[in-house]
Amino acid sequence: MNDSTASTGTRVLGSITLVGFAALLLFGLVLSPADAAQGELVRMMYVHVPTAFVAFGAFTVTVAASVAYLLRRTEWWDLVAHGSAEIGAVLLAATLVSGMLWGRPTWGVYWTWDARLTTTALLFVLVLGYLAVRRLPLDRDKRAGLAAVVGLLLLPTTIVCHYATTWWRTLHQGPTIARADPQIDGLLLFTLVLGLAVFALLYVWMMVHRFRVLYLEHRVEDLGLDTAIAERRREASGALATPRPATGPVT
Amino acid sequence: MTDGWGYILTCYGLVLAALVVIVARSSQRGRKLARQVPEEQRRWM
Amino acid sequence: MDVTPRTAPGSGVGAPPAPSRRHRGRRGLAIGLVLVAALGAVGFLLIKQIDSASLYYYNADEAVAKRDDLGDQRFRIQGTVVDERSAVGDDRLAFTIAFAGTRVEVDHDGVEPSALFEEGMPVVCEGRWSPDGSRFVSDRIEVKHSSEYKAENPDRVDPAAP
Repeated sequence: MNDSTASTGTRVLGSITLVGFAALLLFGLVLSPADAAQGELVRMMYVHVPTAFVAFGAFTVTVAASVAYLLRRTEWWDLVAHGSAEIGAVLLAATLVSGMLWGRPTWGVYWTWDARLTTTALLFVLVLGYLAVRRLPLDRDKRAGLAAVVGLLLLPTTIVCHYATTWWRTLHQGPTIARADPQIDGLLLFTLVLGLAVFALLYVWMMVHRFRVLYLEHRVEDLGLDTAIAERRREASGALATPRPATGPVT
Repeated sequence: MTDGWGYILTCYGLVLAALVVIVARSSQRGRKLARQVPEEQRRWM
Repeated sequence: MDVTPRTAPGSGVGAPPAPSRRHRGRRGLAIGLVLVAALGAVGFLLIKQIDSASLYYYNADEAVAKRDDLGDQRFRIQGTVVDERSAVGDDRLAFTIAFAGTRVEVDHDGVEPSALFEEGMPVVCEGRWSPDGSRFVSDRIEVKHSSEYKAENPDRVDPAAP
């Protein structure tokens, strides 16, 4: 008997993800060559770019699920939007940390307010705000509706963040593989694509688990509500029953 | 050129450690909640 | 959480009054205001961003053309290092950057640039024109690397080898 959010599917997916991470460490830290300009420092790309990409994808899912929630008003879409934003926030935090650690030895600075970095910070603040809305002590349906509306804001912010290096002058380099003619050598490209695949797998795996955790949160909340109502009914009928003790056991 | 392995290992270490902590906490939370809910509401089992 | 009903259904005594229309309206208004404020803040930041970050740096040729307008204003200048001279003093560097055929002499006094700083690399320097406008006085150098990645050529490790 299994008292967790795991199932056969997630166990298989989790195992593949784990093997993927082992492969990413092997290729990222050992097998892939140093870069001509950056030397070993290029290895941070295999964490930085995939986390950013998958975070953008996660926010896109949140936006799509928010639209679907506003149209359909089903719990399923609400949970998808919520779970995806949580994972996106974690991955975007990883993007910021890995980016700062990559920036210091290559650019010479941890941080600068260019268009890409500023819009990334903005996106991070926005998703934290979104997750804060999800904790507001409101009626569940109202909270879900409000969160869905706030969630829509992730769309323009994600798009602006993604295209910041193309639209404006930035210290941050332009796209590496999201362009027509990627300028990246074989094994470096392979490792980058491997990183993307592994973090995408991690996203799907975490998504299934987060969905189930959030679903259980709702069920526990419902149970608590049912119990409270039952208790109060008992109190009330008990109060009525006391003057007439002969009517049998109080249920 | 300095090879920068300190930055590289900090970068990988921080990101992976954070992911492990978050996955562990989420799975713990899932276990705790699953025990409080009747079995028929955990349809994925 | 207020869980109703406290009285048994059908007991006849006052079912709790539904939240008044006025109360609901006030809550809706508050949420609306928060939303408008959030939208406004995001919009403000985006527009501010577009304003300032579109001018993250001037290329060397633009900075020279705008020299009189810029006066002693602080700004960033971008160009490729064409002539890296040896350090002038403790934290000081003197070098030349170029963009679109315009060369600018830079005096840098501040944190040492990253190890990637060398001839042929594009850099962004932060500072201002010297009072006579002949040189750019910088106190912060950012090395702007490209998104082109090539495996390091092992043959180049020891160029002196036969």
